[in-house]
Amino acid sequence: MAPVTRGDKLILVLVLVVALGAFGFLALRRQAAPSPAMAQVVVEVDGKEVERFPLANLRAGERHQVRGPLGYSVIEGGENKVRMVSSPCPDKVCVARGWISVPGEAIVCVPNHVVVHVEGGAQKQGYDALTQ
Amino acid sequence: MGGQTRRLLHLSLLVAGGTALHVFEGLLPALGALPGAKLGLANLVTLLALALYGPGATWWVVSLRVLLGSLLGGTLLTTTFFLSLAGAVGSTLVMMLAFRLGRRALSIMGVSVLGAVAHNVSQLLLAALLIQHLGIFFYLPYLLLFALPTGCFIGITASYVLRLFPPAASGHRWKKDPLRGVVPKAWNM
Repeated sequence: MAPVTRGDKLILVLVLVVALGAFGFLALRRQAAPSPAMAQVVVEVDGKEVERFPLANLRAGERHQVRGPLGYSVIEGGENKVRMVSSPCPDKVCVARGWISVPGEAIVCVPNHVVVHVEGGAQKQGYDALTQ
Repeated sequence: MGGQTRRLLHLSLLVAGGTALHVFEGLLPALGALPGAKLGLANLVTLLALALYGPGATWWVVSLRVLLGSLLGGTLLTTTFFLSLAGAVGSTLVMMLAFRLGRRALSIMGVSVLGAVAHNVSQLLLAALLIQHLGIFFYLPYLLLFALPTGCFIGITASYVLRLFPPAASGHRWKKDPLRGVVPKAWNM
């Protein structure tokens, strides 16, 4: 008598397929993304935009402070990429997220209400606005 | 021991155990590459409460566990607390439905995996609501992959623990077979 029922297996396979499918979808989007020349870095606090600048303008090592309810989150630029280097939140999920560079990618700090995301210059409208 | 006393004792033990697991899990360091991924240890207690005493008692166990666990962990009324609450409510709701609707098709392991998935989804929903941004759903595939082994682990653990309860321990209508199809015969203790 198997411990795992057919329904169990169905659930396991389903979750696996959804997860892998999502990975595939993200990878495809990454490939289809336009050149980073147009990409904009957008910083939001509580859903309100506080900063926006072209990703290409961000020099490597350049840091910006973003004020959230808990204190200052610090973002840092790299070669056409951006990351969160420090944050006053307890879990540091945002710091662990690492670099982002492709339109649609986002760094999210829930405790400090800070979102940093990259927007493609051309394709701001349409489905990308939803999936960002 | 009378049925009522036994029920009170079991539910108190579940609340205490759940609180301990909740606090313990909060002390574990975040996994570097997979932030936000948790073992879901306290889900064990939710599963046991559901299997032994049904939905009504489970809501008490879950809400007391989240409240006490957050109080002891020092996260009461912080973002972490509300995320915990969202995860707990979401997973309990789904597991409750899975127990009720999927009893013929699922073992407790399947219920546990569904609970783990629901936990992640409801947490991300609340997080997305808090920050007004859907970008956080980027984490979902990672969390789903992580939920598979942890959900199985918790479900199998629950099946072992349930063996320690005599079937009469539960006054609930599910008492007939809380163990059905849960562990292979070879694992019998």
